[in-house]
Amino acid sequence: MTRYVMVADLNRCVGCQTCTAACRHANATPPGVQWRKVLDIEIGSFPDVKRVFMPVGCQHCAEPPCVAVCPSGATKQRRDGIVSIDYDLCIGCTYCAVACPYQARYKVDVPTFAYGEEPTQPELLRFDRDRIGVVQKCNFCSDRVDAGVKKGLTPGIDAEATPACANACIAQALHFGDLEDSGSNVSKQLSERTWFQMHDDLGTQPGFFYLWDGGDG
Amino acid sequence: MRYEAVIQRHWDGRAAVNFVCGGTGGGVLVVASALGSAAQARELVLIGLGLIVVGLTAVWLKIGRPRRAMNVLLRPQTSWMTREAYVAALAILMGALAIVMPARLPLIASGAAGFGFTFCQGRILRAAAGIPAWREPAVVWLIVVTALVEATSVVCLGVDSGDVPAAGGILLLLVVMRWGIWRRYRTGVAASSASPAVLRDIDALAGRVLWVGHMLPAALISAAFAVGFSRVLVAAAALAALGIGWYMKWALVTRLSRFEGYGMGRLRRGHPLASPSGGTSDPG
Repeated sequence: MTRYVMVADLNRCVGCQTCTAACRHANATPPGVQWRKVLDIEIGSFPDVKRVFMPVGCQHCAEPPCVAVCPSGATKQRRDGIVSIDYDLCIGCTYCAVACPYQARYKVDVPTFAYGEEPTQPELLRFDRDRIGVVQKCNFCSDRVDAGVKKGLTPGIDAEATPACANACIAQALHFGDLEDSGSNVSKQLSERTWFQMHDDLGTQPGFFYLWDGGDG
Repeated sequence: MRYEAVIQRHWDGRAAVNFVCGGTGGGVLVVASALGSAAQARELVLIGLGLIVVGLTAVWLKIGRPRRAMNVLLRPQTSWMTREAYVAALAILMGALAIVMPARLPLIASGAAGFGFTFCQGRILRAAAGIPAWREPAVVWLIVVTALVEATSVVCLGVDSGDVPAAGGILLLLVVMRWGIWRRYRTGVAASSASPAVLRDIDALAGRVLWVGHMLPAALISAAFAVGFSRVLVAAAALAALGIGWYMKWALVTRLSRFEGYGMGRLRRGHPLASPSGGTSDPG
């Protein structure tokens, strides 16, 4: 079995948003839609506070509330744990968006472009009408992962089989890989470091792990 | 600590209308089925169905791909929204039969479907794990009992020529019950991991909900019985109880709908799939 997960090292992340830009470039998301974004947060109580950069997005939960509530069956969970959306089935009711505790889902009802009403040439080339009026979110660059696996590459190790955000990270803070493989990059990180999952008390079993040793962040 | 626990904008007034009108409509079908004769109930069934249709139309106008609306029926095994759609179809079918046939069976079936419809609406909210004010378990019975309060209020407003004094007594009982559930709902949210802002949102409504929606109707119904029986006082009580029910559901969908927000979790050690992790601690 395979379960793809993302590991974000909060002690390494510098909040540069390169992952955000890479995601937007790879997935051609419109303005206001960020499948991957980085929060700039403050933790602790004054005067003992720390600034932390926290990458967020779809957590590809093992028990995804979005899948259970979706009335059309458009939101699905693949055998490798990736939660995907079938844009041809989705009715755009956004029930999944309110069921997601990670604010990872977006719906765009009218085409929007970076500079006014007319798309730029690259936007025009990559505009996807199927994404209008339906819900969209991070899919761990599943097409890229699938294509890479087909070639015999290892997701998380080989860039061609790894999500754009993890490839682009300048601080090596984002790691992608197979949690079920005890020898994988992500398994090693999680075995050696302290980590947490966001809102694990909700029983969602997120596939997004945050390494956090405290310190200066 | 929660970050960016903002109010959701995915479900707007159109979604709220489904809870406001649909909920009342479902409740009206329940009340109609409890009435003595089918002929007496016919008018109420018509109102109940009308309200359900208005609610469903509003929500249909909200979805991004209205032409694919029938896809809503594809996941009955887990989705309360799918179940709501099936139950609505049953309610409409049975309600229509109850209108054209002077028999008890379709009337009772439409009442059961009406109850199922409001129950599904409660479960829809409860399954929305991203919104702490919705996923609180007491929300299910808050929605169901509110629907019954509203339906009884419709009877008290004299829409039907039924037994208004009895309806007034039942309304008083339901109003007291709704207040109890509201209190339980608020306690549940307070005990949850919700951001303090969620509780502030609820408390901002609490005054109106208590005084206009519960104390005032209770006082008016008591006064109506104290003076022999005053239909006007019961009608005024019904208006207040109905109005606050609609206001409460509207606010629940559009204003109490703050997201969970982002936050850090308990720190752990060891591979997540290995048996018992090596302890937990606070990240801050």
